[in-house]
Amino acid sequence: MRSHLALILTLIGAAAGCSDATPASPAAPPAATAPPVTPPPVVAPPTTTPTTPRDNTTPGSATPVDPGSANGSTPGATPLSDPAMNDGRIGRAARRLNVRQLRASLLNAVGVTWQQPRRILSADYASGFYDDPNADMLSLVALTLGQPDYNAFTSESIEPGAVFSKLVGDAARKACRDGVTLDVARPVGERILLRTVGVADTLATREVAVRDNLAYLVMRFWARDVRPNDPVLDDLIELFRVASTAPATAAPVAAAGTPVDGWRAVCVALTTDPLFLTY
Amino acid sequence: MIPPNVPMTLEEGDAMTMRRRSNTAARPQGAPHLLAALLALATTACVGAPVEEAARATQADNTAATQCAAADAEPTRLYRQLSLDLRGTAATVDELEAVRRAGAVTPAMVDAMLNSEAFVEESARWHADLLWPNLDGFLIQMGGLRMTRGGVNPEVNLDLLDTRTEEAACPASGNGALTAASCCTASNPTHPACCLTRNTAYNATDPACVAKSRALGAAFTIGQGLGDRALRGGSGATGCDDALEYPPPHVDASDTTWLREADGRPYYLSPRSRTRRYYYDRDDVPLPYDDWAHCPNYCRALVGTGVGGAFVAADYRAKERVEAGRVVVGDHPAAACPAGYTEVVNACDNGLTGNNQDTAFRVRREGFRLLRPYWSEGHWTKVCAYEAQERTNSVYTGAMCTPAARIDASCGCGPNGVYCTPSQGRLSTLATRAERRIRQALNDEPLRIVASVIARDEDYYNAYTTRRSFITGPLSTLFREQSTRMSGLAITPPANPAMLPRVPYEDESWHEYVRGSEHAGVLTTAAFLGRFPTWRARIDRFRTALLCRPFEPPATGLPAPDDACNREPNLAQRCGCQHCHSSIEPLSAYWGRWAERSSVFLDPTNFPSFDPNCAQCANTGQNCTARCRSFYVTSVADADGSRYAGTLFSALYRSRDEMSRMEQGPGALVSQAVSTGEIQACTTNTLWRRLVGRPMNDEESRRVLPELVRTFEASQHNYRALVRAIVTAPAYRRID
Repeated sequence: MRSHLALILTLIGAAAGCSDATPASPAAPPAATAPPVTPPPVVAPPTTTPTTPRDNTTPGSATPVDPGSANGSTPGATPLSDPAMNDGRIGRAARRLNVRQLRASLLNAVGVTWQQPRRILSADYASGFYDDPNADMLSLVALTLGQPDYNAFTSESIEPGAVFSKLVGDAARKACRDGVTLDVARPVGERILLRTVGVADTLATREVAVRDNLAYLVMRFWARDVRPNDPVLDDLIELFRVASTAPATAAPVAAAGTPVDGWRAVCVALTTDPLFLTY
Repeated sequence: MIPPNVPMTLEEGDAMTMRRRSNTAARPQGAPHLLAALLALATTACVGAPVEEAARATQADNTAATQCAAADAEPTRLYRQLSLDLRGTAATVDELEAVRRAGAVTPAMVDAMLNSEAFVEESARWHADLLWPNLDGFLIQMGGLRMTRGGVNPEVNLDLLDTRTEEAACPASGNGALTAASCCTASNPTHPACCLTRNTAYNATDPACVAKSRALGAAFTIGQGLGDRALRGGSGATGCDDALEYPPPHVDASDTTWLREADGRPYYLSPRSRTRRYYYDRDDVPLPYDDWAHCPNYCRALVGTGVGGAFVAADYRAKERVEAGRVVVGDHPAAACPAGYTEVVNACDNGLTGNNQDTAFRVRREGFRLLRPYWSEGHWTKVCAYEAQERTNSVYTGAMCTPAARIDASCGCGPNGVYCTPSQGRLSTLATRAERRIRQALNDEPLRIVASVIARDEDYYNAYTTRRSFITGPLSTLFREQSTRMSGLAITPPANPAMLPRVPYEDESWHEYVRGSEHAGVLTTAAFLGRFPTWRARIDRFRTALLCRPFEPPATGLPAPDDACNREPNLAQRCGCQHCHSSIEPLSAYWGRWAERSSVFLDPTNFPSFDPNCAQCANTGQNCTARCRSFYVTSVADADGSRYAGTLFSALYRSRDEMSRMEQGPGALVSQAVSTGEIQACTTNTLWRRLVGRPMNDEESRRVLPELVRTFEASQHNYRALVRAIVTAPAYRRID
């Protein structure tokens, strides 16, 4: 299990590195060719980088400046160490979201968190319990997912183990089901998941809109900046196609797939992906 | 791509499966589950790379993997990473769009996060990993006594007396039957629901309100060990009569509800004796109600079966009568004692019996009163009359009413009920609202201190030295009115109670105040002192968490148990033990003025390092006081022990320097650690490990650590500055 974890984390790093070579991230240098001991590239471009007038007038945007000059620190004052002497581990180790981060991320991306009916033990009721129709499941399973209570468990466990995988799957399926249902009920301009598509839009009728929405969701869930025609979306496109056009089945009884089913499946896929679950 | 002939369902749960299935074309059969996720990730991440290439990458050597990984995170991913680390939340789409437009994460964006309230909260939460604030290991009984309603939390249905509801039809049962206005009809004007139909609030003079109150249980204290048995007799969970209301000790002349003497003392005519009996004695202590049910006579064997003919518990039994062919146990005008027994007249007063062997049958029950104790959110609630007493000291002994004095009938729950905590019952495992509020506030207090220091950009180490702290309504009530009678975790008020902010109990927001001069930041909070209950545990946590130097056993192991050197009583000198304790003992002296297993400050005036009275009782074999036994050496089993009799435990074996440390307190330890630079290096290392996700390697320890510490020092130990320095370091931005 540990070796698999190591592989996952290694390639999570690879995800960040390789993605820099995509057209979506033109500012980042091709890392694979960078010599090991070369001082690291400054993340922000130099202050002379031209900015568009649109950038200057957009709330939330800012003119990149040298972090050192802005914050009193000296660029390169904390240089990267030599990868050859440190087993290649000289950067940040990718890690799993902890429970609070997972809950916040789910809420941020899907608009809802994992809620299910549950019986809750409580002294606030004469019976000693109550039935909560919308129990916050991630809070209830927080200890199982590694959150410390500082009594029996004093350090946070962020191992991406089998239990985490199982519970995250449960969380994703329920949250995405609720989230997509809620989203469809919202006015078109206020939707957070079906942002650029209509409820009935399919690949056959509006492929461009579907691709736009997928690119938007990849940004929303994974914070990855990809273009609508980027091959990285191909798997998601295929998933959407299969889920939204699946024929009805008799046993088990299932209705024919719809675009809403497609988006729900995409939502689950995005939520259970390591790019969502790690950072 | 998914082969067209792969069967699929539309179950949502299969979404990931479908993705994985789409990626398994190139992966070896039988590969583990996580590998599938790995490949999915690789396929998604390494844009444009065929699946086969990704699969090959997994088999490549470290160098190849590193080459793929050796890059900064793309700006939007970096922003998400910063947001999760610094604010505990994911970045919003709008923020990510701004990053995309800017082409980079700008210093202004980082600063905006660092200056946000979310960062302050998140960074304070990081300190929970250092301070482990959880007092669940302690029983915390505010005021000393727990109060139940027959195994139910008295907070339950607290609002029923003051509630009116509008159901269309009168419910047959449940709370609605007490509150639905539709239940109140002209033909049933005393229905409980008429109370709030006729009145805007509970009105004790309205028969409907009386009927409503009778439908609810009354709260009574659980007592110590035997429940309320010592007070009321019976099984130990008797409580008072829920249907019998007691008046206040003095009734106004205008109040016609009760019979009263000219001086206002309420009385009733006993159904049993037909004489005038009083609800309270001359000291205003409640008396049991004089009738067959509340003060039943009972039976005693004619001859005791104990040693020398003494009467024991088995010699007592209840009176009986036969009713409709069945034996009914209990006193009644028609009941009698069986043959071989004689009737014992229940005196129906608050006096103790001779041998207390008859407590199971000598039941003495009173009625309830309607009060609004501090925890009732302003609602009227029923409290048994003994518990409703507000006096602070016993009328019989003058001693303070404490849990140990619960057998004293003149001691109740005190003013506003502050000596009693709502509880499910003696064996409860679920915390009531009042208990949760206190625990949560005590656990959160150190994090509030840390948050305030970071939010104000103060010297970070103020968090460990400042007298400033924060208080909520429940904490204010605890410190001001309950701490002198605590059970479980004993707590000294952090300042003179009269000087503490008076925050209404219901107010759970934090209010700043200044503690006494003995306090030192988080290190003297109840959460820290309770969680690390011994002097050794406190210095161990301090060294491990703040100096990054945990105590470790000697590599050479410990000497054999039968080695004579093990007889040395001073652990700082005992062979083997001295490896750690030669450091632990001197350093733990900084907490010497804080008693172990409590949050009690042993002020030098009341707790001198040597107490001759404690020495005298120890050496002469007299009974030592609880104070001596708790805080001073009183066990003098040998000549060596007698040498230390009367010494404050924390002063035992102390050198002059260590005695000085005791008086300085833990704040001096922090100042010393800051002066050597040790604590700054540890803080930097800890923060690095949190943000970068791994410890510094040797090269970073040599090159990066000094630079970060210099930055930290230059900012006057500004925590934000240190965080900024780490998250703008190249190592943070590069994902391995």
